[in-house]
Amino acid sequence: VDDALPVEAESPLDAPTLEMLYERHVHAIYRFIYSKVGNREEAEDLTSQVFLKAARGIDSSRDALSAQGWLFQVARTTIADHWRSIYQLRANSLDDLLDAGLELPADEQTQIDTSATDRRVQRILACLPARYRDVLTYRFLLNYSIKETAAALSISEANVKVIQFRALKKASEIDPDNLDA
Amino acid sequence: MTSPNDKSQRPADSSGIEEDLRPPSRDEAQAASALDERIERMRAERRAKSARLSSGEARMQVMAAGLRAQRPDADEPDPDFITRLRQRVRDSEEAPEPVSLEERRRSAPSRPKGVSRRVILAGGLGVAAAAAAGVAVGVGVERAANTPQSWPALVPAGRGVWLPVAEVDELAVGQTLRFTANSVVGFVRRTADGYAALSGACTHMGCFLDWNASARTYDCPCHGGRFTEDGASAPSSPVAYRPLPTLQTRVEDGKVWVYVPATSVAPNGGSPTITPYASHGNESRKA
Repeated sequence: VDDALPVEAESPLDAPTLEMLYERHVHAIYRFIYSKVGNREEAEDLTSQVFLKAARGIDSSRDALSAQGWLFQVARTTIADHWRSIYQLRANSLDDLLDAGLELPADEQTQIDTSATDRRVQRILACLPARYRDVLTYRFLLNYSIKETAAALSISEANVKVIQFRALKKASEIDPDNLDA
Repeated sequence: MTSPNDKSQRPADSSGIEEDLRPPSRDEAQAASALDERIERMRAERRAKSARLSSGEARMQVMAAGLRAQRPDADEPDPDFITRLRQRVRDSEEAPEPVSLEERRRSAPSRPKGVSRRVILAGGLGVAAAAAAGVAVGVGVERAANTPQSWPALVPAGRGVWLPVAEVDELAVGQTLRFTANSVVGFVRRTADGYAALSGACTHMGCFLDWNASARTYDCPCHGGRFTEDGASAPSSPVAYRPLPTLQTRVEDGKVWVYVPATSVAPNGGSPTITPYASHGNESRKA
């Protein structure tokens, strides 16, 4: 397999080739998708779909900046199609999910700002009761098993599952836009 | 079930969100278990199973994903994946293929019958990291129309090797066994008059199929695709997918042998200790 990097376009006004888009953005697209699906297999499935769609839809009249915005838009619609398909969501549920999970970055032309996502997650965690925060932290940020989490918090495994459920429910209902008050 | 919390340790919080200390109802406990199953699948880095979720459940799933992505380096792609996809993107520029579900639906019936075309087919890989849909092994396959009469063969004659995948007495008639050999994950099944083998990768996106012994179908955990035991798209499949490619089988030395691609594309894929069986003659049985 040829790993050589393609020649970069000289100006952002030049149309990038698909290979250039791939080299520049594949990592960011993958991370964006991973942050929505949370597992490697699905992130790989969807990242593949994005670039194979891009292969068919690339438009040589787009300059580098708009090509990048377009690529992230392809990623969003790919995730939306995927959710609709595997979760069998009704249209209004999908819209609801998209509003919650697929917010556009502040500036569509910039890369997805992952530090903004980090801050958002921190803010959400900070609003939760301590026990909810603890369970989510152990389970998701530290990747503890149910058993390890139960031991760390001195509660039963059944309780970890119930608290995890309640905590995720609350966390997913928080509107991060209203957190800065 | 016991109370979900110890009241003496009830935390003071300033968020306005109260911790719910009531014991869970039966429904809530069930929902909590179902959610935990989906989370454990995520922790195993495996793709979510197809399931009907309410809007709230889907939001919780996405919240869990967002939290998981906060772990250091959790969201770094596998370099092998990046390399494989790069090649696939290059190939697709030369021969673009429809990829979306809608396009598959639209294009499938209009494909001219009997026209061979080169397709990138997920033969499946034996390694978890490479289990990505259709990214797996690009095996060029000559195939014709979607009719049972012209079932596609995964490995064209002369391009593969014979490998043993099962003992003859391991399988009773009607029984199915999953195998991994070189880069192929497949199923071998004992039929009334011999053995038949199929690729175990869904023809939709290459996810590995599960054998459903009660329904006698191969079920796709990704998007619910279903195939009959002889590889046709099952009537209960939500979308009619291309049939599963077949693999040639033969019986010799008390073993069932399957004709698989000659080289293992992935490191650690398959069974390197197995000595290839010399390919000869026409006594092979076509599944």
